Amino acid sequence: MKTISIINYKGGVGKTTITANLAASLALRGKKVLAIDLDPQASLTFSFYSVEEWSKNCEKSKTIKNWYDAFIDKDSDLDLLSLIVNPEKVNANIEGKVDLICSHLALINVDLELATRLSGSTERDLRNNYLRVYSRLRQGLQSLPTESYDFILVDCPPNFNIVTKNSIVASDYILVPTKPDYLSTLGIEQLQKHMDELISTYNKYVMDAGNASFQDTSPEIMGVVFTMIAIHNGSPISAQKQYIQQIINSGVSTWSTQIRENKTIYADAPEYGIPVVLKEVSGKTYEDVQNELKNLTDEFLEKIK
Amino acid sequence: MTAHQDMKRLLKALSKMLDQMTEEEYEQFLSGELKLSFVREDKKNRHIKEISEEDLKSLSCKINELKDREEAQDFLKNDPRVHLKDNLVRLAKFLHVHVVKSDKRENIEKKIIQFVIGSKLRSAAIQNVNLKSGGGA
Repeated sequence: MKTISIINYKGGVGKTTITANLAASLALRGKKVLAIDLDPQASLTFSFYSVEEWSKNCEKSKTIKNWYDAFIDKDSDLDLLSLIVNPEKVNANIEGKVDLICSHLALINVDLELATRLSGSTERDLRNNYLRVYSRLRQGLQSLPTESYDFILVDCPPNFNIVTKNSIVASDYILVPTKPDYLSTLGIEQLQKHMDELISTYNKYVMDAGNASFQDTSPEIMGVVFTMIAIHNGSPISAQKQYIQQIINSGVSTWSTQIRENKTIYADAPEYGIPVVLKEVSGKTYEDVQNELKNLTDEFLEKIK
Repeated sequence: MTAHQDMKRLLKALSKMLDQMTEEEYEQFLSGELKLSFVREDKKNRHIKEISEEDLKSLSCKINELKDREEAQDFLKNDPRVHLKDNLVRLAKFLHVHVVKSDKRENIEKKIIQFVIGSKLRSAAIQNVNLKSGGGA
């Protein structure tokens, strides 16, 4: 069971599209996937369920917020298994499965509430509270039966708050979808800097605590996937090429698969609960887009070995 | 172009011409035996020496070694291999810098410098941010 966080500081770079399509494509190949939506915008959730379905079946008792609430309100552990749902549309006609832990629009407040749990009157209190809060998701995922899933994909919010840090600490790999433009390029370096800082502080506290319930974390950046590429004559336009090259020059690992921009194809897919990679299509443009998503899955599986 | 820039170009052309003259020619010029004349260049048949792949590689390595914008600016201004705008454009494309037809020489230089040096400087700036104090390291 490998946990992968899909993250970028910058919003609107295609994190959710990558997560939903990767989850569906892996499931199509027989893999068991758990997708977790940690973004209060709940875009991943609404890629698999309509808002009405979510409201009726998940809002009250089956979201990741319930799990954090149990910790914040009662200092108790809610079983993550009790929150897992199995979206019907995406799971029709696939060999594996895509399970989901939904997000909640009010998850936005959880960060502030978790922050209050970080305080302490002594150095030992502070350290123990830090470890308890930041290893929350990690310990939750470790409680799942090992054979339940091949992959856990976590769609992170576009920030570096406590919930996002929870996901990084819980991860084996970090995948960074990026639009090749100036601000997204900056975001990657910032993310790397913050990740290094988080991992080194977390691991230092683990060592200082000497408590067997906390272990070191060492998530590996599995690379940058370029998204929203404008294609001209079979390759990215030169305005985007220069930012792609800049990221390559900076030494960050990049994926050879690039995902093109296609508003017609990607715009409405979430509304019908079926990611683009699973749609039955005809026409060259559609096939090109699907092939890219299939290549993305191939590359993902290669890198994760 | 300003009068100041015109004057700089004129003096540069004169200085170049004087450099190419022998002592004997210089004396003849001063004594009036030699005269200056204007020759109009036929732009259509002008032969542009296209920069070689090897030169592009060497220029790219050199500029990547530079540490600040001024150094890079001097380098691009002074290296004879990129005196022609066409060759500067070739260098930009070789580096994957996005240039458009309407870009003037000055702008292309800026874009190359931003691409090579600017990216290193901003990366160093991000790495040096002290996340604990909120101030620089």
